[in-house]
Amino acid sequence: MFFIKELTHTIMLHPSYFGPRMQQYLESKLYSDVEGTCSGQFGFIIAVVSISDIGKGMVISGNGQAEFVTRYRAIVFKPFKGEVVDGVVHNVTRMGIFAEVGPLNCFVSQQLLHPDLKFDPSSNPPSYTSQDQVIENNTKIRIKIIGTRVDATEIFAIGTIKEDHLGVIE
Amino acid sequence: MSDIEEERYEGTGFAPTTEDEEEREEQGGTHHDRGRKYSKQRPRREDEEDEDEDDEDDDEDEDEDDDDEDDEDVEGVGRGSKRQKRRHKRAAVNRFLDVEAEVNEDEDEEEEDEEYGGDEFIAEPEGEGDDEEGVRRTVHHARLDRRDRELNDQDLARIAEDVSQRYKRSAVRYTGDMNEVPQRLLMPSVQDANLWQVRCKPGRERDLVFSLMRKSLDLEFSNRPLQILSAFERDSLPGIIYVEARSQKQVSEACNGLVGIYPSRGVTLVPIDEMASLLLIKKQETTVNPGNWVRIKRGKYQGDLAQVVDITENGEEVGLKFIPRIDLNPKDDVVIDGKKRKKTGQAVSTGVRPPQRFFNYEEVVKVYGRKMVSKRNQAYIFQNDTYKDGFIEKDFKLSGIVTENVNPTLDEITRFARGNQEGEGMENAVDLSLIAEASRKAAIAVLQPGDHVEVFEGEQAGVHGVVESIALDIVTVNPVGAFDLEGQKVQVPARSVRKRFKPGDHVKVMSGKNADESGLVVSVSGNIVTFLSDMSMLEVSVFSKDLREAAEVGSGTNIVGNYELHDLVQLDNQTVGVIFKTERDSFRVLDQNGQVRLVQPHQISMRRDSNRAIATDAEGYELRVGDNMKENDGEGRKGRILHVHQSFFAFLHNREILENGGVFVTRARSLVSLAPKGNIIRPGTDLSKMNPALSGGAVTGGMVGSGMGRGPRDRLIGVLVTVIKGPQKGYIGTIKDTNGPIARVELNTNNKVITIEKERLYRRNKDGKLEPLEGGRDSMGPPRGGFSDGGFGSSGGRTPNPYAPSGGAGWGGGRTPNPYVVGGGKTPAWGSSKTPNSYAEGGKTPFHTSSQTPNPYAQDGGRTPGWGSSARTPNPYTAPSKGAAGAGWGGATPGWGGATPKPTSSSWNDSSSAPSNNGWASPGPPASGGWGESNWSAATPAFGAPTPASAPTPGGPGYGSTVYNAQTPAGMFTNRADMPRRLQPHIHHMNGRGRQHSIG
Repeated sequence: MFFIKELTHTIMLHPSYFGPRMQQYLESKLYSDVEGTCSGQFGFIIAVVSISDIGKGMVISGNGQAEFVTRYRAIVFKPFKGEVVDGVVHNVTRMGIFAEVGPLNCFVSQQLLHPDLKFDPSSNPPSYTSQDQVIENNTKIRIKIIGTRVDATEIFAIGTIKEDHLGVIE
Repeated sequence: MSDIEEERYEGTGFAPTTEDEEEREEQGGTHHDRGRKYSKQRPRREDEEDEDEDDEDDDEDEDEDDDDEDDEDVEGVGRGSKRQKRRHKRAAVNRFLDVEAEVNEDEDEEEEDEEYGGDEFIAEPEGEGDDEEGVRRTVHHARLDRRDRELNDQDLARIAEDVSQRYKRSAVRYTGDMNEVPQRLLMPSVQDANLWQVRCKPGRERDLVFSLMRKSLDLEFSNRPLQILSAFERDSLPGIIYVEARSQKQVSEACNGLVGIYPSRGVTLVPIDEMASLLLIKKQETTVNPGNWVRIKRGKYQGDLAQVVDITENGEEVGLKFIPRIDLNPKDDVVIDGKKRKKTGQAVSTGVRPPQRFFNYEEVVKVYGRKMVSKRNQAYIFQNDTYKDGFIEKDFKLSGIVTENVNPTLDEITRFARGNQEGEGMENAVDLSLIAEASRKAAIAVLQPGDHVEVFEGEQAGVHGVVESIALDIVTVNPVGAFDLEGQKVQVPARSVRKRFKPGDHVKVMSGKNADESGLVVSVSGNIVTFLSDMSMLEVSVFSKDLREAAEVGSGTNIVGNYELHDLVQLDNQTVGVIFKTERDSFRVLDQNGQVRLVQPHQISMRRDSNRAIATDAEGYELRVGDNMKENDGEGRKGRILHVHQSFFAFLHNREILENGGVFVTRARSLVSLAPKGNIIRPGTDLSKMNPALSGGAVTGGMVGSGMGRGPRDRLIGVLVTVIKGPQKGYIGTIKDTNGPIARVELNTNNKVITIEKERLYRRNKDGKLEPLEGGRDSMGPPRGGFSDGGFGSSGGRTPNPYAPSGGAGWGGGRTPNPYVVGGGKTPAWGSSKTPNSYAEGGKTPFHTSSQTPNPYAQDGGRTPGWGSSARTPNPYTAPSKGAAGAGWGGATPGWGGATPKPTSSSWNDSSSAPSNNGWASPGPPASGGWGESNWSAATPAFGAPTPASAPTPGGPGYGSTVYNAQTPAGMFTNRADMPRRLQPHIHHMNGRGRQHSIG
């Protein structure tokens, strides 16, 4: 699920950057630091929408660097158990299917595929096939997330397509 | 089961068969079980009474009458025999005499015999053992007569008294005619014989009991019959047999001469209140069911796993199926003799037992000959054993197998499975649930409060909830999701609950082969849970009992010893490898040659760090650890670089590759970066470090003006010197530090640092000549480290000096054309730094300036990323020196004279040139003006200065400005580069929305 979330990020700025373009440095630093990362708590930070407060630089005694606690609003994507998401298959193995849901990697075990879908090892690229469906790389599928593993810097999900209205999207 | 047990017990224990019993059986032969049981007790009671209380004999007789009447068929005859026994035992005791405190030892009896021998009432033959028949007959008749007489003669009052007495006693003592005897009435009392515990050799208990029985039978009619009443053993108490007797002496006598009994270890009396419990048969339910796994207790197959095929009706024997151990290499004589059974028995006893192997008809026939093996139906008969489908099928006593804590390992089970598949009559493939069943007891131990469990059997089946507490085998469950049970607590036996997991749970394996593995549950069927391992991305199936819900990722599984998954480790001098899988106490390592090895931690000599390792990829770009690369040949695999080894091998990791845990090794030269090219030269976006754009200028400026710090390092440091005075005279050493007139010298001889006045030191030149320390400075040779140290020292302290490698080239370039060697120094380089000094003529300020003049240079060089790449890119620095400079340079050189290096530096960083201009102002004022102007004007856009883009600029009239324009595009903030690619579109979009960056 996507959220717009107010977050903070701390930037250390070397004194050599102090000066007229400091703000610009900070902004670009924030973008590069934050966008595309994942925090277990909030999920994937997709993009910074706006910077609400670049923060007051506090010079740290001892090394002269300034610490900016920047508050910004970002679009975050956090997967939840039970959520239905669309993804693109990017790897098919005997065990199941790995799909990308944006930045999220999602695994669909072959036990959570429809029983009709059988792994076809002979096909190239490998695929799961039934009479009317083929799941191979780049197939778009709709997945229901049944579990997530949330690390500090990574989120991984497993999903199922063994329910109604899930599976290949035409 | 109780039946079984009882029967077993009776088989084990025995009551020395009295004639009473025997004769009854002889005569009637129709005693049913109960009768027998009672009879077992009766004799000893009779004896006891006879001996202790002869006055009660009559009552006793009456009692016996009752008994006997119960046993309908015996009647008088039985009674007679009983009497007879008594006679036999105590010879001729006059029944009408009160004999108090009679001791039942033979001597006593004999004495009694003598004492009462002349009694005229009863004609007792003296040697009863000699004339048994006669005795029996006489006694019989005598008793009959006596009884008649008694009955007739006794007056009514006496009878009444007898009766009352009899019934009074029967209340506390044994009564035979009740269908159900209350247990407590059967409890032993003080009057009863005692139970003695005798130590014996463990394992021989049963044999000994049987020996005792035989012995008692043998000696029954001898002079000295055994006086013990019964003996038994308990399976649960090894090394102990129990003997029932009146005195310890009797027990000792009985045990005397039996091998395996240790009378020396004492014959101890069992307290009365413990006697009953010894005979208590614990009710245990039959846990053995067909299909169960058991182990064999002894013999050739000791410890082997077996599967129960069937159970006999009485439950005493079970048919087992297990993998035979047939000796396929029997001793030669065995086969020849044909008496192989005996021989093989010996072979077994020697201790070397043949390995488990499925029965193979051909093999066995080859070794033992065709006639040894016969076929019956589907099975083979060999050495009296039945072999079916490769397994041996054999009946075992229940006591000969272990049914508890069998814990079959997966290996054993799979062996069974294999056998099953080999055999045609494949009943059931391995039923994993059976193993689970077998080890379910252990499952209790793994339950913990907070576990989510499910009741799968019993009344509450289907309820699931959270374990609240565990008390012994009872688990209190807080049900979840059951409406009617909500809020109540359910108590269930631990064995009927199992841990409950649902797909999506994050679990960790607590025990077993996959211990410490963690993953997300993908499916649950019964008690087998399949989960996707976090680490290997493979599916693993385990019993739910071995699992726990876990929040953390199974990190424990990645570290064995000091090594971690994906570490680069040194295996031997030539080989390094990357750990791609950690097992319980070993690793799988992929070495640089692509070989997979199984390695124990101790086989690893060290861990290698390749964080700083750099290699070049197929396109000549630098690649580093962590870069996302792709093979440009071979399989075209993609991956993230884990390690670089010797700038040649790159170990990459890609989760999507299944083999070797996603780790593969390839040559660095065959890799191409996956990231956009702009990423390759990564400008310093680290805002917590020095701003590369500013660094040169800022620092230089500051230093020139303020003379920041204590100036450059003393140039004497590092100089090779000889001590010319003092105790160390003649020693050679290197100056490590100076402080005013004092220097610290590290001696070459003994690696000692001494503090010594400078005046005692002489510089030692390369050619071995000595010259005064201060005076000889001009002639310092460039090869000495002192030069670069001195020249670049001021910055060296703070920042790593990357200048060093490229310094040679840079300086060399600077040096060659340097015509302004004023000081007459041999080396131009030194000249340059020295020059100002000579100008200064001892003035301190100029000295500083002079020594620093080259410094900005150094710092520029050191800090400017352009320098890093100078190895690859045409070095603008050297260009002029080679005379390849453009017109602009050419022009500059003559104008500047010796100043060639300076314009060069200014091309790098305008601001740095400013101070140098100052420094040079005095020697060449005319030239400096023009340069200064342009440089300063160019200074403003200096941000981009450090980029190598400046490289191609040499020449051109609009020197300053063009250079800077060119530099700007390479701006330092190409910050998008290191974002994951899939986010790129977003960013572009965002950029499109008008974020204005320095990206030009």
